[in-house]
Amino acid sequence: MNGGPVLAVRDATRRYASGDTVVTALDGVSFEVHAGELVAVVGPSGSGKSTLLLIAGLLEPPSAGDVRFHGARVSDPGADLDRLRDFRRRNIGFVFQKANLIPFLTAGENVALAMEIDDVPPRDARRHAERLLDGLGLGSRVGNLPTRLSGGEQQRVAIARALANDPALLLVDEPTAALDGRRGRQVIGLFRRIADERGAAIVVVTHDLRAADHFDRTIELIDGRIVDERGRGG
Amino acid sequence: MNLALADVRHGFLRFFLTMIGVGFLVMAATGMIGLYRGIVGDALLIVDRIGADLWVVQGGRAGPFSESSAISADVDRRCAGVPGVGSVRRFAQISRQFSFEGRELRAAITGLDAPTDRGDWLTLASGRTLAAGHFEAIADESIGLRLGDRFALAHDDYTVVGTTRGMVDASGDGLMFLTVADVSAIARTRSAEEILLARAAAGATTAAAPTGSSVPQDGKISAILLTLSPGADETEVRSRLLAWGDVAVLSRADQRSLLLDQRLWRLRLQILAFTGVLMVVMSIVISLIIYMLTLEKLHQIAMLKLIGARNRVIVAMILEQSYLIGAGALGLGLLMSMLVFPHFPRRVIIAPLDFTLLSLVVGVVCGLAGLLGISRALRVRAQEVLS
Repeated sequence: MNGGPVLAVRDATRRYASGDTVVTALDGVSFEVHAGELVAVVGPSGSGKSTLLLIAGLLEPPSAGDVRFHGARVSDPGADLDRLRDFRRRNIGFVFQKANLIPFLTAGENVALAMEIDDVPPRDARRHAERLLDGLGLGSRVGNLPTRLSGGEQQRVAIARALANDPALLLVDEPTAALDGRRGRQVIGLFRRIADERGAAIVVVTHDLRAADHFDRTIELIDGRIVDERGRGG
Repeated sequence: MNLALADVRHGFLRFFLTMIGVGFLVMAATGMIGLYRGIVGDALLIVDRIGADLWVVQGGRAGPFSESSAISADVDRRCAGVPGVGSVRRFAQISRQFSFEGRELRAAITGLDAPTDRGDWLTLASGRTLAAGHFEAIADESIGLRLGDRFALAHDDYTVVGTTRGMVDASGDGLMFLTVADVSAIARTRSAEEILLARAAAGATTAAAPTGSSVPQDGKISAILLTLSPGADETEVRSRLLAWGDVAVLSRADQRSLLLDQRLWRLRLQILAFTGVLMVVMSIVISLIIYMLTLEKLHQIAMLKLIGARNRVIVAMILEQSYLIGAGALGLGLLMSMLVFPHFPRRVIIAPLDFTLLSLVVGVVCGLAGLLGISRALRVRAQEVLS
């Protein structure tokens, strides 16, 4: 790993055809995220936050521009995203507003699954999953199915799953939307701790800036363009 | 970890009920094939077991099973004199309904040429073979008689001295074995009115019956069964018999062919057609089940793709579930078949080879159904998790 940014999005534009018209969801957006950095992406609905997340997460290609990891270009308008699945598995973790846990797997299995599909032996995956869940205060819930967990617990299991393969980048979409203020702050605090302790680069798309003091930088998007970018306390 | 098994474990009741549903289809297919085998087996039972090399029947007829056949009473003695003929037995078979202990019973009454043939070739469930020349019977259990029962047929009473199990004719009537002499006597039985009418008709003509009786005394011998001497030339024997002109000669292979390809042909075709329709229904049902199970999991499949699961993880999950349903249905279908079909009125034969072939068909169907689900699953995009 070099000292450059983990993620660099360069002049990313994304256009969607809607009938006879073309909608520009993202318009020449560029930004970088470094290891250990916690960045918030804010903006009103329809500002392009989720599109930015999809492009940064290699789930959609940009219509123009590119996405680089540790300086290497991995996605551009001609990218075959299906072939980037292995890269995504090893380098990017996702956390969404909804936990999206597999309902027929226990909390431990949900986390272990992310490692097993990366060819980690099942026993090792299981042990690592238990350690991760224990670290997130869910040591006693390893064997519980998602339906037996509260919303906050499910969210923490999803975070453990995202961390399972020790990704360099964590992309988080509205993690506090379904939580009250106190729990929302706790979750953002958790990401802060992950960034500090693991050195992961974390991008959090959010409406909620009640925990703004935890973020290193905040990027504001409006109509698909970055209109403001400020550092902590700025 | 095995995702397919984990999903089955999580929704076991639903999967089990699905397996039972498909299992009933497997059972129905097993039953149709087994019924077909049973009908063929029943039809060929006498031909295969009675141990005749040649059947001498009425000339110009393909009797006694495919067409009626009645031959003159001296044909057995004529056959015995043909070089190469080792043994000669008379054969007769008639269907009769009779009352016993207030029940109406039905049997295919078959004549054994005692004392030459006392039924030693029969597999008895209880009792013994025929010992006396008259009034003894070996009855199949399906007729509804038990060892020691005495019942009336025509003007005589008969005693069941032996029983068989699962011996029926092509129509499903249980076989009852009496001596040929008894079968002939039963066949000759006339009602009082019938005798009066026959005598009146005889009185109006000048021709005298050869027996001296005014009532027809047709013997009702259907066929003569021949076994050949060791080393005898079957073609030579056959041509000598055919030279008489009043008989036809059929080999065991001819009888099998007549039964299967002539008499039972339409029924066999019908059963096989129904089996085909059932297979199509089973294929559609299994395909729909697998497809619906896949549709229910699209969000989870999108999530798997998002976290980087390779396609083979998703393909394995769908195919394994498809085959689990197929395997469970086959097991349950076989179990239900073995429990239920023995109580059916007609014999249903569950042949290992047939069930193996059915399993292969179910395997192919599950594979194709899985492919249908897989084709849908592979079109899911990871970002659908966000929707």
